[in-house]
Amino acid sequence: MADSTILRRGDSASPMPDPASSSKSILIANTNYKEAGSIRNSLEGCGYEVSAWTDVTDARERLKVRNFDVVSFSTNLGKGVDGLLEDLRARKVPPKVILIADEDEGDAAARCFLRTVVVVNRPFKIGEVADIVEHLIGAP
Amino acid sequence: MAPSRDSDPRSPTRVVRLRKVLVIDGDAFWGPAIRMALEESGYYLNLVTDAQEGCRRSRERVYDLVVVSVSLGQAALEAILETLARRVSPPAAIVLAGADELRVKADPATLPALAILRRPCAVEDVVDAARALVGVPWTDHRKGA
Repeated sequence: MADSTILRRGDSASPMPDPASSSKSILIANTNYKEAGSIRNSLEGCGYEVSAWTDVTDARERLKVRNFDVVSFSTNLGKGVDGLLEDLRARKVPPKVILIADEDEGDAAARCFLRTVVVVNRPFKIGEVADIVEHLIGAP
Repeated sequence: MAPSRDSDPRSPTRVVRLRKVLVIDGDAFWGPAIRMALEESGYYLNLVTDAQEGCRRSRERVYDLVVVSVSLGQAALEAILETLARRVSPPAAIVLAGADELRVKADPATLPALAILRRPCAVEDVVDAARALVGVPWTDHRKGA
């Protein structure tokens, strides 16, 4: 027997909101204002919900209270990266990770010990991160 | 019987007045960076990248501070500063200028507070200037309702 709820989901005329249609969320942790700000603007422009922090402690606090589909962080967080990675690994379903690193940090992704890590090397174009996010979790 | 206000265990509502800032900068890096730094400091932010939209907003809405970049063009800068000066209570303004772009003709008497920052400067310098011009990001409007 067909489930009426599932059938209704495909019906665009349905007045019931589809929970799966809520905007996808991204957490940014990057101490560089220019990088964090421009990535945030680019992702918000695409329609994603973005929470951006230049302090890793604030980012970790945010991660405790809600789920994110993608977490983008930079190696410039220094020692804070380890704590953030621990939090991510501890999650039942870890979010996908975009790591912003310099070219000489080739093993940065391997050190994450997470299933999906995409490394973006500096210098990068602003729209590049949005393209990767769309590839990882789909359009908002 | 309704409980008296004194016995209510909940903390009283705080009503605060946020300082509103408008950033007008077409630069793909500087605008978002300033927005992020000022938002993190606690200011309420609007960012526009278009000079006309910036002019419209500074005319129609009330801001405590307007940050405008000379990279939008000398004419746009003059128009925005003139719009601000025409207001009954003009907001403070920060002009971001390059080393060779500093030709602001605005009359200092028309704007209550005008700061000019030469690029390259740190994003934190803009936050410091904002704090110096308009003070802390928010203040208590009145005690608990």
